Amino acid sequence: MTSHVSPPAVAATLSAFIDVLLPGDDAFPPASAVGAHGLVADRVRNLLGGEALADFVGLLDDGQPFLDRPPHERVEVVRRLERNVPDHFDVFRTVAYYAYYQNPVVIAAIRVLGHDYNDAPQPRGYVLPPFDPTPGVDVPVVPRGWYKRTEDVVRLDVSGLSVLRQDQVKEA
Amino acid sequence: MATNSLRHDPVDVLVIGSGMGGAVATRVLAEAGLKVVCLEQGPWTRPEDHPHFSPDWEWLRATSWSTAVNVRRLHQDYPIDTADEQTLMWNGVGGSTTVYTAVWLRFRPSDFRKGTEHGFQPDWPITYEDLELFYEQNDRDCGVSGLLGDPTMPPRGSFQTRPLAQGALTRVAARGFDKLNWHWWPMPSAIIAEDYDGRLACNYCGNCQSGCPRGSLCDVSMSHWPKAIAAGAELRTNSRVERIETDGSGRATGAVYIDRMTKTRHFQAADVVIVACNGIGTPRLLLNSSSPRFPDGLANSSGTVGRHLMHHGLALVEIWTEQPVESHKGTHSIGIVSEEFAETDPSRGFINGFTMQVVRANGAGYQALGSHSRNVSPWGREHHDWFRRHFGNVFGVFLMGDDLPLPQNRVTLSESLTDDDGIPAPQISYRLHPNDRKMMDFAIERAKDLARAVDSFDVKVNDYTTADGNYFPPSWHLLGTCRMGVDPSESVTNQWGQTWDVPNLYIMDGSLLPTGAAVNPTSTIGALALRNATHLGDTFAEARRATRTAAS
Repeated sequence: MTSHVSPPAVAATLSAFIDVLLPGDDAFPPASAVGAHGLVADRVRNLLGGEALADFVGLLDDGQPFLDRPPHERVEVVRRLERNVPDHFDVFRTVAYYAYYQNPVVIAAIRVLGHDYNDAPQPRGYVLPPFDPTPGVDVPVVPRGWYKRTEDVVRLDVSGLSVLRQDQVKEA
Repeated sequence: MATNSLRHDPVDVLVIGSGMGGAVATRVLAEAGLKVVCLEQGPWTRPEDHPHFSPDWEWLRATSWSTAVNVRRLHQDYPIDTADEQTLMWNGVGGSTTVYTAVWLRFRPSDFRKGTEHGFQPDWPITYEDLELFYEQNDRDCGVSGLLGDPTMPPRGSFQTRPLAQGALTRVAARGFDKLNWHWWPMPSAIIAEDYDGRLACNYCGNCQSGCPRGSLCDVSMSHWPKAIAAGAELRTNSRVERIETDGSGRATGAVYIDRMTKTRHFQAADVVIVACNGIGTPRLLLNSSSPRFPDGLANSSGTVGRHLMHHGLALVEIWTEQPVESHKGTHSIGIVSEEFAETDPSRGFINGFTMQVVRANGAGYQALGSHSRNVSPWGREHHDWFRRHFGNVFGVFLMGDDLPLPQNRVTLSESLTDDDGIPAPQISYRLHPNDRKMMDFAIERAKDLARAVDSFDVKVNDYTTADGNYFPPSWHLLGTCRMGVDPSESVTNQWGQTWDVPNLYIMDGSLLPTGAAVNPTSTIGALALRNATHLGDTFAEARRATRTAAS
């Protein structure tokens, strides 16, 4: 199926779609407000080809333009897509989440929550408290465990193990 | 040999593959004064090539930096024909050390003696003690952080740096292990906590799964290759080997390879050929090197080339706690390890054992997508509240079991797929044995015990089973497909990695391992390559003229 929706309409519908996924609240912006739909379109096109984007919008518009629907109906349409085309939906959701959480405004919101979270892993990295050898912190108070020395390895009786009776490939 | 190949001057040793085994072998033999050429099908990765500096680093890790070769699909890669697994590897200078997590556990003494212990795996032709000194030297070459005194392993030499910083995440997990009275210990790692050997200490950025542009993680392109090249070795990148050639006496004469940049075919002659292409690439190359003298593939008179593929039994349980643990900070897989269940105890209902490895969870996008366990956050109005509660509050317990080496788990040549140069792709068949399935089910229950011990508010199990019920693991440890042994009818090489059928052809990678233990294999692959390359260097005068392979 190939949709004939115009590019501006695709952009508008995709924006509305990702806002259903990631609507924003008092701390986080809606996905379209940070331009995530641009990255979503670009990455879906690279992953699935240009027609996949238009086709997906066509599914959103099935029966009635997605943009013409009230918010609660948009949620229902997306829920139906999640149920009916789970693999495609998963691609769009995955792409949308990654696009959203790399955005500097969203990263700023994560920081507002109290997290020390970098724009990218390098070059800053993170500071962690150094290894603490105090027993009970980064070292066990009472080290436990054991190992079998080479000379202590002897034949075990495994004749009662039902999982091995199914085996056709005994090695030794 | 193809008649239109460009011929290069013969060398003493030709190494195929530049990962852990190939890098160690090249360095040792070049430093021994031999003329060594290494052919690598991929390019160098420069520090600035890594995605760590880019805001879309998580997206890149999921796509062009994916460790899954069938997802990444770069030109230097080859496709894997399989419905049984997601095969992981890296093709380029440094091999899979370019993007691994640098967990640096050693095999246990009993891992070398499974034939004696229960007989469903073979004994190795060597013992832990035979490898011990090479573990030590390889650690010095790589730079390893850790803490002495782990009671679940034999005494060992000093680590090169102090242990890596742990932070809240591992401390929460450790208290859980304490409640259960189970073993735990700081994970040894080939990631340095202090500057070492010209490389910078780790700064805990959390993106180890895309490698390390600082060089803190032992990527052999940074740790070994500069030294190998300084010793005179030549590394030819973008050089994809098509086949190994043999002469009328059955000795290897060298290899035909394709320069991927010019698409020209070359022939490199050598007195000794070493294959180090990993547990998939090595059997693929041997099988593709068949000839009238070796109709079933090179070095395959036993019929075992490509068989006994092991990946470890795998599962992952993620645990969300009320206490923030900064899941995105720190070395990805270098938390703590529990070897409480590593030795065989038949009363559990299975043979062999598993380890429990506490791991971190990458960035915000990945965590919103459910991290390693795919506990995907809901979309819609609930999303942001879910994120507030879950982000930074998760740790994973990666469960790794010693899987049985089954002959039907194997690498063959695909009849339908090729790489960009027309060379047949590997086809992989892999299934868990019922023993291993039972072990992993037991392991999952123990991880749930841990979740209860830390008062988790959410737990998600990823047993790598698909919706249609098939086990489809991320297969990172590529082991056992050209195993060494004492009997030429049941193994491909002797204890030195010298193939039984072609006396001047050696294997030095994970293919050699007769058992996979319950731990990440790179330190053992490196130590074994070091032992075997050292022996080859010491005996090279005889090895270059060898007409038969010694039994010991």
